Amino acid sequence: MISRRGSEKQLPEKEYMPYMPEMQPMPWRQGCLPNCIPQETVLTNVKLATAYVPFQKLCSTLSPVEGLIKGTIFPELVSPYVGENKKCRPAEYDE
Amino acid sequence: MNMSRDELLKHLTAIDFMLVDLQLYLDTHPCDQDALMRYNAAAMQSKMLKEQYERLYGPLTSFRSPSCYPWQWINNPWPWNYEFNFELAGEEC
Amino acid sequence: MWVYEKKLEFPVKIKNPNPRMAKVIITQYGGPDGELAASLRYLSQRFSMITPEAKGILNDIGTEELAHLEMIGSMVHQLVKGASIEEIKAAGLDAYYADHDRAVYPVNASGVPFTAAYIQSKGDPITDLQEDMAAEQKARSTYEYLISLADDPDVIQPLRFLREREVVHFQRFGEALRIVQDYLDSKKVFPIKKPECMK
Repeated sequence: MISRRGSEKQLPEKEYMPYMPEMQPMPWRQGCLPNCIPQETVLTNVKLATAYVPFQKLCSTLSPVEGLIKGTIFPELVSPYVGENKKCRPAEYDE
Repeated sequence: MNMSRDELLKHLTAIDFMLVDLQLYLDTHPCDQDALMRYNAAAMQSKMLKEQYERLYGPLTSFRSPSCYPWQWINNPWPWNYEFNFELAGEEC
Repeated sequence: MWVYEKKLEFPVKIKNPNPRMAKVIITQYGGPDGELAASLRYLSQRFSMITPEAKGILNDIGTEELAHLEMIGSMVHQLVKGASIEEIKAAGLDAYYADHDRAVYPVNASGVPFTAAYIQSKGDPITDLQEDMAAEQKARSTYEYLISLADDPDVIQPLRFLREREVVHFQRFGEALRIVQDYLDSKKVFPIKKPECMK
């Protein structure tokens, strides 16, 4: 997905209608496509001295309670942390 | 459907959290129709749960929620109290 | 403006007092990489930010950080509330107790009070967003150290939640940076306009 270019224009006023094209059951865990990749994988026109974080792309979401426990509803962003072993001394790294 | 206060608060907290995460995604992906649809669906569900909670257990905001007499907003417990919060079963830490 | 909802973003239900943990967790309240610094930073930077997407992100993540501030405050409160003076002294929290009893006050883990010197609001949108990305990584690291120090699942569960939020926020700020960079690049494509004074 190409990033949307930002703009400074004011959006035209229009009547507020929630965007709901079809009434569907709660769409947790529904993927969009079977082989949906949840991020952009190719960056183009990259410049020097500039940082780039790839855009995420929505494929599926966790259920609300599962998302709450994990800290995000997006499975691709779940990043569990295993704490340091409290009893063992740290291994020596080669400098 | 009569859920206990803890169950109701758990589901409301979870759906509101989904809204927060979707809202941040939509801030940087304003043209993602799928995300917008999920956001609006979750918003409707949150509204229903919120109304149900407030009807049974008192106002969640002092800003738009109606209150019985006397003014319920100040009632204990407050969210930083142990008694206010529900247990959330999770993975073993 | 802000509306307060009477519930936490994630539940904090700590059965056992532990002033030793409170002493370190408080750094995410009033410390350099804590939630007060984060919310103040983002909510200050949003005034001079460009592009609707980046303004939205600063506004909304800044607001979420206030909710996290509340969670940390609740954790510190519940960790000291039921603790005896002996437990507080044994935890090395007696100096804090002398000034604050069992109240919550914005300091870091060593008792240094909060200062705006922890944040920057530089005005340049790229600079500000890079600062925000760095802030999220610093917060994530701090949560990892706190999780390593903790034993109680009631404490670890909210810390894990908060750590994951930092990962998500980093992704959002990264995307906002891409949008801002694209916008600034696109502006350079247009021919130079006549300055106002020459029209």
